Amino acid sequence: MSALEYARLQFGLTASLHFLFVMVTLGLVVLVAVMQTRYVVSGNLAYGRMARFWGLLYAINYAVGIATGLVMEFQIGLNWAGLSRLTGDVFGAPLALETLIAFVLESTLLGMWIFGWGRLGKRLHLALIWGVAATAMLSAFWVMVSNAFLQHPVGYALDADGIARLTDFGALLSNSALWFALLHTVFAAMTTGGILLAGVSAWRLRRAHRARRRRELAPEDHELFRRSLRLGIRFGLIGTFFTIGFGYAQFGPIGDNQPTKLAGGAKAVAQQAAMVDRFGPGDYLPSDWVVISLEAMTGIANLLFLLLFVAQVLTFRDTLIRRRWARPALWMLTVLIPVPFVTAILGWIVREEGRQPWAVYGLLRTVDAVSPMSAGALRWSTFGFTVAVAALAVVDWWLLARAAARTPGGEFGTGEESGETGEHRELREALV
Amino acid sequence: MSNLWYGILGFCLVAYFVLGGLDQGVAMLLPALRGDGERRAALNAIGPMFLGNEVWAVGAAGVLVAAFPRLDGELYGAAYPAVIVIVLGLLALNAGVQLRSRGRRRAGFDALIAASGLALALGWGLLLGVLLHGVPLDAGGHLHGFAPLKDPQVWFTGLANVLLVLVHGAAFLVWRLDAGPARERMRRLVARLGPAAGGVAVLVLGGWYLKAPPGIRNPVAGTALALVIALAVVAAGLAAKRGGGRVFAASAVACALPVLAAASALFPAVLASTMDPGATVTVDDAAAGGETLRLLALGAAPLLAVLVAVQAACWWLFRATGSRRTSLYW
Ligand code: HDD
Ligand code: HEM
Ligand code: HEM
Repeated sequence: MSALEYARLQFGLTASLHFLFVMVTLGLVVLVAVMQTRYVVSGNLAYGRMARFWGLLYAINYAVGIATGLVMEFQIGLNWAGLSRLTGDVFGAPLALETLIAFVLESTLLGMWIFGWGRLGKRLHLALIWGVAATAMLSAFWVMVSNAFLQHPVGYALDADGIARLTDFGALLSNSALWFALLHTVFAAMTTGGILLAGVSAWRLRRAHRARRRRELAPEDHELFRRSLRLGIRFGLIGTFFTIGFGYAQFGPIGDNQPTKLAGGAKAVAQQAAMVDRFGPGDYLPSDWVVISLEAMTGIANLLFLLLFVAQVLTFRDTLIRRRWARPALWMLTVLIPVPFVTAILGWIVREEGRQPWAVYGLLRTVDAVSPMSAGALRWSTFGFTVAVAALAVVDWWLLARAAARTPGGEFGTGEESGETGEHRELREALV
Repeated sequence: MSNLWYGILGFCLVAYFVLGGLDQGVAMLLPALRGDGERRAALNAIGPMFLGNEVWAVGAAGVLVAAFPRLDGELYGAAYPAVIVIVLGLLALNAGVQLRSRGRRRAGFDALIAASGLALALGWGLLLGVLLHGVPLDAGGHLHGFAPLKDPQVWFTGLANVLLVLVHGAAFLVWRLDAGPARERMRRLVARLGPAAGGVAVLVLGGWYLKAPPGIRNPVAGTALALVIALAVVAAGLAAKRGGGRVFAASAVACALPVLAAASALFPAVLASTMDPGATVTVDDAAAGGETLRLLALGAAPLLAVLVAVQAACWWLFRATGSRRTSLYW
């Protein structure tokens, strides 16, 4: 393999792994904020326990995920020097804003939220989790701004040295490759969060039914997972609906901005000829994987919507939990957990591989964007970084699985040493 | 515009040396605390601020990359081993603190946390030493080896920073821990280590006079600030008996000033060349284009104010000292 191929492989692998963390972060934070809002507004303690139980999963994923993001940032500077040199002024600024504003603020608020349980006023504490959710969205926004520039460069002018200088920040923000993609991505993360919630809850409920004595759920824990299951299914269904909507909405702008991306058959031949006329000889068509991935994504999306719709119908009177014949639906929800992740990676293959052979569409070729490094050096760094990020992903999922399997209660140290918390006791007394 | 951004970079770094120094200090002190109970009390005392403290390093790196693209590569190049140690230290400290109470093997995590605190305090001190020493940069912008890191004076500077950070961490614990044997031990540590650290700071200052690196432009400003560092850390030691927030304020001043002392000794240069005075990089040379700086100023500067306000609110909201009603997340 050539240096270029290694650099692309490395970016694709590490970015995909990074994105697994991102989907959990973006999906769970909104869910936790919704739970906590219901807790504060209705005073229902079950929602407070839900917010803490799922909030712990969120906090673990966030803490482990930070390192994968740092690897991404490091990599853009190291392997894609041409990109930074020629277009860094334009696409580097939004990425810097992401770290400066969104990440720094997000972490500060999250630290306060984690340690604020039982210590801060309820409304202030609720405002903190919404602040975390808002800054997480801001993170996603700035990253997508810089990615949209790669798809469809706007708002710049080339100076005498052929370096792109930022001229119009507004154009960067109203990029037609930005908004539908951002909304599509955010709703995909909602889908992921919803299915994760529903899948884990279904697993806990099923386990409790199967082995009645060994893994009995206390009544308040049964209630926690019952409500989580319903919330997760609803969230996943709504998320999938909008993901599909904004997915189809993207076809318009893509056709205008990147005529080679999804073209096939005779259209592809015509586009290839047109590009050769404009940019000189070369292969301007992306690989077949783009269309294959797109079809897989749409196929899975439709199936997902159907299955979640059935699950939603079965939540009527908790049929899903109460009726023996409906139990396979619980099993199915658990099996669905990895599906949105796989689908999202397929989506990124469409977007990023479909951009080839350009690093910045129509402006900078990928061959010219890669750093002048030897294939040998890149082979080792690809291996090293991928193994490191993959190890982080494994650690993350192992910790998440452990956190998902534990008995709810005492998540943020509130009474961890001394047994049950006041609220826990209050709730049990109310239920029994 | 470039000086404004240099100021903002300095602000982020000062914030990191004070707040991140706090995390490093407490991390290094874990072995001096006995048993899991004392260690948890110490870690959870920084708990609410910990993530907020650490992000200043990321913020400073962001400002460096976005506003000073030239500096970024050269500084990293000249001090490459120290930068690698810092990055690994940051990852290990954060992962260690977040994960220690999620598993069962806490002792292993505690060793990792203490080692990464030490690596960070030393690494940042070395970085300041490299700046003061100057780097082997030629007129073509190429670097020749890591000569500064072979100079003992640079290592003394790193050591001085480790001592300052240790006093700082212990001072914080004197202020925030419940009365008890752990707090008394920290109090004695500050009383003993404070004057010693002050002495080392003065010796390091003398060392730089003997060395007289070519890049120093404002020796008076640098010297004055270095002397204030020594005074502040001695004051922390003397105030240790009475305790309270005063000790911590003094050690915070001592940790804030090394960045300013080094930067003002060199200003307007940032990276002084030891090979060719003409190759020295100044603030203006290193800064990004005007339009990018303006965009960053519009986009980031107002939110920097929000960030400072949020962090101040954090200290105020969690001002109650001691372990009463403290979450034991870590
Ligand atoms: C749960 C995840 C998920 C699901 C169910 C779907 N997608 Fe998707 N898709 C993504 C997750 C995703 C993504 C990860 O979020 C991508 C990658 C880049 C982006 O902006 O969103 C994406 C990209 C992406 C692109 C490429 C955009 C570009 O190249 O600029 C297209 C054309 C579609 N999607 C279309 C669809 C359609 C028509 C769907 C349903 C029928 C669909 N997606 C379901
Ligand atoms: C700011 C956001 C992003 C930027 C700046 C970015 C940039 C890049 C660059 C420079 C490359 C290699 C060169 C190229 O193929 O043009 C690349 C490839 C790739 N990226 Fe991204 N990317 C971003 C987001 C993502 C995310 C979040 C994912 C996945 C989850 C992703 C998936 C991929 C994949 C799969 C490739 C390999 C495609 C190929 O074969 O070239 N990207 N991206
Ligand atoms: C490929 C280019 C990318 C780079 C260089 C990058 C950079 C980073 C960095 C440095 C972090 C750690 C600090 C932080 O939390 O912000 C991070 C985390 C995060 N990134 Fe990315 N990112 C990329 C792609 C994306 C994409 C495409 C999205 C969303 C659409 C995204 C959303 C997030 C979120 C939500 C986090 C916090 C998640 C966590 O820590 O678990 N990132 N990223």
